[in-house]
Amino acid sequence: MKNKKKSGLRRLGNDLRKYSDAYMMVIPVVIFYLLFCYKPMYGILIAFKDYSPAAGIWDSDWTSSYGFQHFIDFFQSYYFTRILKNTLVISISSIIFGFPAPILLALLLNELKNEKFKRVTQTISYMPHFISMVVVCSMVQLFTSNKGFITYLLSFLGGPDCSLLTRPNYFVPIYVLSGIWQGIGWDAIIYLAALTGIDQELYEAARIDGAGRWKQTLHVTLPGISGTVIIMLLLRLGNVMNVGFEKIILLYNEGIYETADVISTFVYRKGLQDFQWGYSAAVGIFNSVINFVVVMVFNKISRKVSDVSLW
Amino acid sequence: MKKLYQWKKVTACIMAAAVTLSVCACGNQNGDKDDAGKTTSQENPEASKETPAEETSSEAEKSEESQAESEAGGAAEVTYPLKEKVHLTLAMVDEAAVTANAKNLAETPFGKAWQEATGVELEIMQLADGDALNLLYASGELPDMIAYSGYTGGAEKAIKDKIIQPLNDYMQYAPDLQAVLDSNDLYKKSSTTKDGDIIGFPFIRGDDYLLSSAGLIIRQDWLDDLNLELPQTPDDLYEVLKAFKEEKGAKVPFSVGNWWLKSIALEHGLLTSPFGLVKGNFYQVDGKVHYGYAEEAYKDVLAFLNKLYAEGLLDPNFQTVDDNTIRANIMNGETGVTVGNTGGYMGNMLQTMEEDPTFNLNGFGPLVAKAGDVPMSTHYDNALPGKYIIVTPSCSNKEAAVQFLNYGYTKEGSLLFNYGIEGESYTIVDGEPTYTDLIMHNPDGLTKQLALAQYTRAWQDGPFVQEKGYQLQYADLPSQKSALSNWTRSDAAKYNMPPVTVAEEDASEYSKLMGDIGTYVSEMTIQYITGLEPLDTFESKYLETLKSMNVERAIEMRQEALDDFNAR
Repeated sequence: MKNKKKSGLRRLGNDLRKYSDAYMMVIPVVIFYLLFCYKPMYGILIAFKDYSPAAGIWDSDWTSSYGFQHFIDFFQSYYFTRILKNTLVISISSIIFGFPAPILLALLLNELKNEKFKRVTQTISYMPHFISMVVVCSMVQLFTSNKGFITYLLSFLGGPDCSLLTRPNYFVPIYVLSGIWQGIGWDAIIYLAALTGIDQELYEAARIDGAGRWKQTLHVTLPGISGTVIIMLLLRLGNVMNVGFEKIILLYNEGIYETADVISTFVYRKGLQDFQWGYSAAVGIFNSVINFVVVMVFNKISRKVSDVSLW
Repeated sequence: MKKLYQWKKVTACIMAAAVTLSVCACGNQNGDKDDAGKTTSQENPEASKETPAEETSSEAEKSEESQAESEAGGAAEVTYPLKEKVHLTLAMVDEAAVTANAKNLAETPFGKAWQEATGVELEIMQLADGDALNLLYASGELPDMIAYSGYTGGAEKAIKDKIIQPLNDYMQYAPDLQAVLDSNDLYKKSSTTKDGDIIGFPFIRGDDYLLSSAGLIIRQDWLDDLNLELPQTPDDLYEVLKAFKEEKGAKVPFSVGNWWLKSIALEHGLLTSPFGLVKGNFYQVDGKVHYGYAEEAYKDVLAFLNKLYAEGLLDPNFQTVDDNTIRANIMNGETGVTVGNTGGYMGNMLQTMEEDPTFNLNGFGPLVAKAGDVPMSTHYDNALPGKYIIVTPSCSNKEAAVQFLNYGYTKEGSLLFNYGIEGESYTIVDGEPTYTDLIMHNPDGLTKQLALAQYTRAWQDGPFVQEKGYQLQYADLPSQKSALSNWTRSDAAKYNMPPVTVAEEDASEYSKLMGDIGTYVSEMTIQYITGLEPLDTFESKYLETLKSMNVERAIEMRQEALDDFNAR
């Protein structure tokens, strides 16, 4: 063991000498991460403390229960199960419905033969990505208000004729569908790029073997972009607990907290509106830990199953 | 010590530079205005360059004397402008009415006059919203002064967290505030913590007439057309709404935004009296604290609202509808009843509809069980609503800051804060300060509120005593006056909680409890009104859950706080 470590160190030393230019180049990036991503982590200490701005982070008192009082309070809170459930429901339905959508769009665009039509369609589809979130949300509010066209259409199918955002059971569909509308074109770009990387000879070979469009897609196109898909999925899973916080804040109201209140909005309300900085930091940490675990687990599974992994 | 010395040196240099500059400026200008002031500043570098021209030299000497005395800790008078030229920073949350026409408060005519009168250079640290203010508190890096409106754990905690500098050791620099506090026991009690610390410079509503400013609003012209009286009981209101819907074609006869419904109508008991409930929020009956939302009687209030909702009388969008939409609905004849205030609601609508002689509004009092009864509650604010300008412990010049903020309580300051600048925004008519047309009929088309926001603080809050004359002139239309008199009639003073905060050691627990409880109450209120949750579950689910959330403990903490306050 010790031997191995030593040789590792020696290897690093050799490496440093050999590629010193490359290491020099990486220094600013490392400093950036240390300064902006690692140094602020010191602040998570307040999750274990009764933070008082006068005393500062270090000198604030530890909470009772060995510093874990905020966590205990959160787990015992009336809202714990609800916001956890809502977070998972919103996030998982976003992944299930939202993740395949851009892949489908990319595949469809790929099949288009008319270049001009393809380009126009693509441009239109990624336009919503550039609209600011506030504007998107007011559009959503407008469309789903009691006079909005979506409400109007739905009322023909037996839906309610009041604002849909006042009904708890409509929130998740509204959130997921508007998310797809907003992101589908932009997210498809990366898959389109992956598609162009597929060797055209493979399609030729498949055609010679008698494969039709469908078979070609199934056996050439999809395997061709599967690496990209898995990486994207892993990255997405790393954020499974981070649902679009701004969007929910802008869309929800007290009447639909039942389905719309998630961990991040809860953290926002507790921390910024109720002055409970320590408590809200504790909830935030809980969120991050779950994200971390999820991405570790899926990375491992993915490495076993498909040899594609983040690290 | 050395640092302090250096600072002094720097200050001296800056002062010298300022004086030199002002002298240079004299040379360049024609010197048409305050010649005398300039002479003073040339002769005496200590004196402020903004000494008004009319001040004679003998008066100047006198002021120097009294200044010297007060520095010695003796005199009970502050002379304005201050001799020392200071720069102070005030953090405040953005006020749309101010920033609609000026960069910030310091740039308004009011702000300039305040700075000129006190000789203080005021810098505003503009915060986007309350959240930004909370972040500022959390950062621990505070400006000289903050417009403060509350802190978890109350002022005691804020003092302990080194956000507030108690004024006790500086009261000799605030003789006019001291006089105001001495004049009224409630003022003194409300602005002092239980440890006897003076919190800051409070906003004080100086007359009972100013305590109510919101309530139920109705289309009076519709009532007249239909030969109906102002509704008093729930049944009256129901009939009126029905008539509005059927005969006036109002699509949503009663429209109210979620905030107004909860924070005004329910929390202040505009709809609760007939059902035997004072109001939704905390109140006291003979010294015993109740939490209205956790009372059995609340069920009947919800049942009434649910009936209105189910019959399409209450706006189905009440959770999401915004103020502008409601105002538009009222003016377009889609809505006949709402909850709002004299200014933003009644004033704005009446001013907009000036051209239409038929349009008229009125306010009606909180509902009661029997016509003629006095309601138990109404929109009623404490004389000291808990808004202060506080001086922070890190303030660079506490003496000057205290003197600066004291100005609002002086005679001249009170005129400036309430009425603005004499000859511009007000004139004295028959001994009473009277707003000019600049405020009342602004030539640039500003509403009264927007005009007042440029010249006064009376429209909002600040370190001064608000005068009745403001409200009388601001809400001067007959319908506004009638609304105010209808809204003020109540027993609210009897049941109202004084501005108490729970003990500092309980604060964290209390705010966790009330955070959860408040959210739950808001949600369930909406669900019961919309009928998504049937009212049968009121006892079994709603009250039980509140109990399991330990609402009793929260009430107990409020009770302790009230007992403490009463014993003081």
